[in-house]
Amino acid sequence: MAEKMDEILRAVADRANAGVDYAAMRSGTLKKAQAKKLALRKNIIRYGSVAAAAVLLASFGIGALSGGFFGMSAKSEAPDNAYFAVQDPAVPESEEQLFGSESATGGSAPTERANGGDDRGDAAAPSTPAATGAPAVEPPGCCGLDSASLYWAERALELPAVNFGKSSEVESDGEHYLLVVTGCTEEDFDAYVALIMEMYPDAEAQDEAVQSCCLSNTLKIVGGQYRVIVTLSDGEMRIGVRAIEN
Amino acid sequence: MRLPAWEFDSVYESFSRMVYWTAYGALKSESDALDVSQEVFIRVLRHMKKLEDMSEAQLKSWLYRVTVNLCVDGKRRLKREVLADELPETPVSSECELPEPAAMNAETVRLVRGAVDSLPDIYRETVTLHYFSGLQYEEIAALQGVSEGTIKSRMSRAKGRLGELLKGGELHG
Repeated sequence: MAEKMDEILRAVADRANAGVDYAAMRSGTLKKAQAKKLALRKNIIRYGSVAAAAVLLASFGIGALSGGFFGMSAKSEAPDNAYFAVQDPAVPESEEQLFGSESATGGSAPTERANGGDDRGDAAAPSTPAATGAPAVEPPGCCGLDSASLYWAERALELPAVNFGKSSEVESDGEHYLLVVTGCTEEDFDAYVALIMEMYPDAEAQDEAVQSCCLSNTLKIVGGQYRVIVTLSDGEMRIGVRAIEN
Repeated sequence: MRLPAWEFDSVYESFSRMVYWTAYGALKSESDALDVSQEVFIRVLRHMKKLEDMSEAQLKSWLYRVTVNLCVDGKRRLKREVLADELPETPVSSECELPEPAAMNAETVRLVRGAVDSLPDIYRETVTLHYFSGLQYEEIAALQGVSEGTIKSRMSRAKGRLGELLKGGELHG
C-alpha cells in the first residue's frame, strides 16, 4: 500500500506543481517589491520633510530662548550641526560663512561635524546625540540606517524597526542599547523576535522562556558578538543589546 | 574555492517551489501560499546582500524559517489556526480502493489533495515538503531540526492515515 500511496502522491504533486504559475508569482513579487519601495520613498519624503521642519523650528526656538538665534552657544549648536552635516553637507559651510565669528567661537563644533560625517557615514548620522557620549533618548524608527530601522550608533548595529506599541524610549551608549516599548502584545513580541532572526540569519537562539511574569528570548547575533534580549512583561517590551566581550 | 554568489533569479529558481509548498503546507490555501511566497521573496530582495554568500543549506534554512514565521504570523492574524493533532471526523472519500495513479482524474486528484490537507500539521508539512517541494528526507530533517528517522516515521504514519482517509477507513494494509 505504501508504494501505491507513494505513486499517488507523486502523481498528485506533479499535477499540483504544473498548476502553479511560478513565473506569474515571480513577476507579482517584483511588482509588489517595487510598490513597497515607492511607498517607503514617499513616506521618507513626507515624514523626512516634517522632521526637518520640526528640527528647524526647534533650532529657532532654542535660539530665541537662549538670547537670540545668533547668540547660540557652541554646545547647543553641535547636535544640530551634526544633524545638518548628514542631511546636507553644504549647510555647515554656508552657516559658517553666514555667521562668521559666531561659529568661530565654538571651536569644537566643526570638529564634531566632521566626526559626525566621516566616522559613521550616512547610516549613523541621525543618531549623533550619542556621539557626545551621553545616553540618547530618541523615538524608534528615526535613529537608523533608514527610517524603518533601529540603529545602535556606537556599535553600528542595525535592528528591525518597531512598528507597534504606544510609546517608546531608547537609551544607548558604547556598552548597551535598550529600547523600551509600551502597549505591546505577545504577537508583537513573537513577530519582533522573528524579524531579528530574519535580519540576522546566523542568529543563535540561546534561551527562550515563558514565565508567569514575562516572555523572554535571548539571541546571539553577528557571529556571537552581540546578545539581544527581548522581554515582554505587562505590555512593556524591552529590547536590549549588549556586546559580548571575549 | 569561493562559491558563486546567489542572485535573486537563482534563489527564486532554486527555492520558489519549496517556499510555495511550505507556505501551502502551513496555510492550506493557494492564495495565502502565493501571498506568503511573494512576501518571502520580497524579503529576499531586501536582504540580498546578506544572502548572496550563503551556502545552499544556509539559504534554504533561512527561507524555510522566514516562510514558517510569516505563515505563523498570518495564521495568528486570521485566527484560523487548527489544532495540530486534530484528525478529520469524516473520510474524504468513500471509495474502498486506492485510486490507480495512472488513471487519476481531476476529481480524484482533488480528493487526494483534500486528504493531504486534512492531515494534522506535522504530517501535512512533511508530505508537502517531500512530494510537492521535492525535498529529500535528510533535507526536511535539517530544516525542521529533527532526525531523518523522525521524518521517515512521520511519512509512514502520514501515508497510513492518507490510506485510511482515501479508502473510507474500510481497508487496512
